[in-house]
Amino acid sequence: MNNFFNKIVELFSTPEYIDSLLHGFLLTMQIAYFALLIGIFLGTIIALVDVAKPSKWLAIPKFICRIYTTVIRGTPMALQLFIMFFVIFAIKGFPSIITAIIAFGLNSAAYTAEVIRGGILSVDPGQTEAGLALGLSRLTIFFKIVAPQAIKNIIPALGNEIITVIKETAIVSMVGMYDLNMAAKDIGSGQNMASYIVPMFTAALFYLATIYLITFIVKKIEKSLRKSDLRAENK
Amino acid sequence: MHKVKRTLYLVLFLLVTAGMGMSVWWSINGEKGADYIVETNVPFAPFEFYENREIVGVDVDIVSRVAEKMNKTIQVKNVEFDVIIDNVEAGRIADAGAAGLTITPARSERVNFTIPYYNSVQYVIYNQEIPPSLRDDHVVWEALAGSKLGSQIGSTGYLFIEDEIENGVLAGTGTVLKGIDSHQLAADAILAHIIDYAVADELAAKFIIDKNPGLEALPLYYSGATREEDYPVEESYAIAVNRDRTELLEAFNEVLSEMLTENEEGVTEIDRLVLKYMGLSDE
Amino acid sequence: MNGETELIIKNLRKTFGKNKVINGIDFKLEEGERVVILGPSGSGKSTFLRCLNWMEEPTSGEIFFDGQLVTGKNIRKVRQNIGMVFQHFNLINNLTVMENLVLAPIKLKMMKRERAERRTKELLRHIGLSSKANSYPASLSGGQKQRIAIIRAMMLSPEVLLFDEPTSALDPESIGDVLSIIRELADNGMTIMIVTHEISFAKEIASRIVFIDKGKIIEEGSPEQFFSSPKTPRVKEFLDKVL
Repeated sequence: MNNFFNKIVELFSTPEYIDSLLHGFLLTMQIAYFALLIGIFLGTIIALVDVAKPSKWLAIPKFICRIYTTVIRGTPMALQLFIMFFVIFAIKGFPSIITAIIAFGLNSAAYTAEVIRGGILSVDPGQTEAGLALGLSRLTIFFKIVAPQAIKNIIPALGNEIITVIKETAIVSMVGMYDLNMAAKDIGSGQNMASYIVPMFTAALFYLATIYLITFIVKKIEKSLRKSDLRAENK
Repeated sequence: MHKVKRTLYLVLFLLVTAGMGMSVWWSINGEKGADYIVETNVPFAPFEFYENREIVGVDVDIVSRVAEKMNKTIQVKNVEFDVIIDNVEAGRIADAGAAGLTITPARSERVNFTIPYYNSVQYVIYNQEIPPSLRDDHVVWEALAGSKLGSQIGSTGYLFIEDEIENGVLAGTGTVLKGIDSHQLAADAILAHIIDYAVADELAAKFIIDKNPGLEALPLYYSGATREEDYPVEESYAIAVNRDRTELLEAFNEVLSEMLTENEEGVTEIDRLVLKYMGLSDE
Repeated sequence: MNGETELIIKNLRKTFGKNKVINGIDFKLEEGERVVILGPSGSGKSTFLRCLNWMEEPTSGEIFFDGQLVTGKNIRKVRQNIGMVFQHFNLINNLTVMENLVLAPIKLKMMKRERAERRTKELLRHIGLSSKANSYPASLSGGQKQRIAIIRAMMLSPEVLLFDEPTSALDPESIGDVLSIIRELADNGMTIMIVTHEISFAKEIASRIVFIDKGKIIEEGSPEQFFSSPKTPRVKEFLDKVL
């Protein structure tokens, strides 16, 4: 235990170690950030195709989206990452950060699509009917009525997805990328530390702090979106 | 009021995205444009390990000598140990692998190996307080029977143990082998009582016990007819090169034979580098 | 009652999967009529009403509104002229009362915002809910919601108003408020079709009663005739139960 404590002190008082962790942390955040942007964008499209009224134009896109989410959600992320790195983007000189962003973005899209789909479907159909009965267009109904209510249901689950992606990016160290997890391994295997436990513990603190911050922000957004419900409670 | 807030958030979002985008752009520009790519697996001190985010070590020095000699740029890339031979064989994303790779017949069928540049002996790492039964200054395979062993997945130590469990002296003894992410983690696993002993290359083992007071390591031997006839579990490291990159193979061989030439004191360049990266010399 | 025909329905059928809900209904609605649709639960009376403005797309049959065949192309125009009030009010949860009321007129470019808001305020004052203009639906009682839903339908000045069990989801004390608004609309000559279980209200307001069972019109007639001397045993049986 004393040894553990000494190593923590050593880690935090060595600028090179902190520098390494911050660099690793930056890569983790870069991958997670852009993967989530891709995920939300693509996921929204997939969800919209999925909940759209069936028609002959949409039959094939709907089928593709269904297959896509099934395959992505049905296979391990680590495997998808490996296939991206060693099969699809096995191009010499192709930047690995882009490969990683695409791999996580495509993965996140499938989960985000489910989250958004669920959010849209949980809006009372009566809300759509009210819009239809007034002669409003489907587009107006979606943007003015369904979407604002769906977002309220989506935000908490989307917050979960953000947290999941940030933590899951740790597996990029498997393909040799210098993320937060790899920084911990680097420090742990260095000549002075020679133990994984303390750097791993420190990296965990980094993840924890980030995720705590994100949870806090998501809660804030949730609260402001619940405005129209809160007034009911104050009645 | 609402509109102002929304615009503010949008601007904030765009700024963050632009900033992140630029940082990614930066790291990409720092990464590409090498003539050759050599894959390695960090950490495997003293051959390759991180030092302030740079991959350094004996293998890296060999590679930079080759780059110098060929007047080309070579990038050393860290990947999972298991995929190095695959990638070098395919030759699409890697031209060579320098990761303390042991020459084995199976690997030789798929890639070209340079001349061996280091001979290593397998060591058993164990908890000082719970040692295996020792034979003077070494441990024989039989002493590991029935225990829980760990080794870096895909490493030669791992392959040796697998062999012994399948059809060697450990067959049918209930010996368990656990593949672990790295030698370092295997050492941590001993202290955490997850495994009893770890098997690793000599240098990696010595490096680890040097930093972990509770651990000890001794060479691993095949038992002979008598104690004196026991012989060590040995292997030779070489660099794996894709079959079509003959110019690269030649350059590696030239550099290696230079580095393996003994100086007046009978020390080779490779020896010197090993000592340096082990932190055992003053350099 | 100047006798212009609003709606003509010819051989309307609606099936949900294998379930035949409407089995061939022919029907005519004249301007100024107040038609109350009665029938046991599950008889298809709500579905019939919902088919009229294509809330449920008919499986077969034709609907003419103002002499024009209703199709997927002109349905939005038709709906702007056939208002609907739902059992569960269906106020838009994320919009205030004011926004609920002005949404359609503004989006459909029928009124400018100022005019729509002025009209909204008038109507809210008329039903005594001026103070709720900026409240969200979640803070209103069922009766308040339904009264607002009715004036929301009226914002577009429709020719016909459909009521789908407008009081079924209300507590007894707010039913009266809602019924008095409907009564007022009727008195002003609004063409109304209403599905309800309020028999006494039906008696009072209806100019015609339509009885539906098993997806067919079994009997129709004036309220006096319908309630005092029903022609079919099915209606007698129904009236024995509900009266």
